Amino acid sequence: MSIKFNIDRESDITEEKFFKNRREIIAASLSAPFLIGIKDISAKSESLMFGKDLKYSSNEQTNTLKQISSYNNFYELGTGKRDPMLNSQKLITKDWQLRIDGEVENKVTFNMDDLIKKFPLEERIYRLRCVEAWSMVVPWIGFELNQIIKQVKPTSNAKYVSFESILDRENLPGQKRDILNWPYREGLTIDEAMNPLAILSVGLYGKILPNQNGSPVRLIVPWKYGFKSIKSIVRISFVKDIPVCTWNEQAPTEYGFFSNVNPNVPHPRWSQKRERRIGEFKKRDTLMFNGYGKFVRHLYKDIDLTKNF
Amino acid sequence: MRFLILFLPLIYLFFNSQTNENIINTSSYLIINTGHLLLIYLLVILIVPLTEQTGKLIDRRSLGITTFVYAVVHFLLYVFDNNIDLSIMIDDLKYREYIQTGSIALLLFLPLVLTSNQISKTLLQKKWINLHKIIYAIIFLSLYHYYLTIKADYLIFWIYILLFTLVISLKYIKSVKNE
Repeated sequence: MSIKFNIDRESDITEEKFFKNRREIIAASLSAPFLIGIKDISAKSESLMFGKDLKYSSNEQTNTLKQISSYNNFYELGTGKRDPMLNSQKLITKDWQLRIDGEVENKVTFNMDDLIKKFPLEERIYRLRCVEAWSMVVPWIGFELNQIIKQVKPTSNAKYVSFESILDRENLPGQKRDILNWPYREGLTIDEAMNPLAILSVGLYGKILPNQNGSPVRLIVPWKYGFKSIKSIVRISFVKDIPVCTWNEQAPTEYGFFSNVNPNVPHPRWSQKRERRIGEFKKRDTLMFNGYGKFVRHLYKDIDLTKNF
Repeated sequence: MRFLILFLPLIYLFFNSQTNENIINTSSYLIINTGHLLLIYLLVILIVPLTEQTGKLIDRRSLGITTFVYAVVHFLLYVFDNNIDLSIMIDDLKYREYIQTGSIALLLFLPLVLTSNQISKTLLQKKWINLHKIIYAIIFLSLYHYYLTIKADYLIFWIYILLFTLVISLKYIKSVKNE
């Protein structure tokens, strides 16, 4: 038995109400962990079809779409928290292509329609912990990164995965100044990238991603600080050596390659022990690996996380 | 009345933080913006005696006391932001430079506020003027405190540096001329 949800709402508010109901319905029908999703091309709406995940998703109260899409760190669209929302139209996602290359057998370039058709979408409700000590719970729509990896078949030389965001100095207001060394880049070890928690997200709250959240495709690695979850990806490369990661390059003593959420390793300038969950008054304790220890702890069993932060 | 005007920006911030649905992180909004107001007020404190007109327009003593109150509010917001948890704040005081600089700046306000009355001014005479040069230390610490909170975009920080340098230079030129 399976239930399909083709969400096509008139407003974000109804969408959220529906979303909450839907979660209850799904919770009641434990029989449909995965559903094949395709992009709904017939409707003009930007709705997605997706299945429900029960294994990795959090059952915490999700943040509202308003909160998730108007409090962002996306320096390409400006460094203020509201700038990405205000400048969202300046990110041009039309005819987007995602290139996958490097140490792989099958180099491939996807357009977004192909990507969404090729990989079944599912919803993942994840905690997001920003390095600035605030957090949210976000219902992402996406698919496991390992699905793409299996398809392109990395060679034995592929030890790391390097991600690159859009470079568009003409249109992106943040790229008019060299605040960071553009384009934004991030990286994972191949084992981290294969972990089922790591997803490529194309949507949230049932619809394609708002531009300010990293449309049309972004990485989500919920056990790491938010900046590792690179937005608006144009290229994924499989490489032999540790890749350049933008924040690590910017301030290596402050942002390590791994950047796992770790309350015991403070940022040199501020504590990481607690976080403000957006919408809550009291700060809560930050959890090791953002609470995803049972899924990722084994990746770091031989690594000193205070040195390799 | 003059106090009321000086407190209007603060009242606006609190009102806006409660009524504007676009403010997602209220606590952070208030802390960041009371901080900016503090830097602006510190700048105005230096500007006021530069010309006769500004000297008449703004009472420097009220401005100084208001700035101190802003600093206290900024500090209290930090305290509430940390669940009024003493252990966290002691840790911050031990290890976090931005908390150390901010705390010292706040403490340095005390001698200025305590001697802001006419009696102290008369009693201390020349010493009073020297004592109140502490404001430069407060400004330096506040700017450094702000600098330490920035992740990558230093644009606004450099604008502050530019403005403070400009005003301090003007004050210096004025003092040389008067001699």
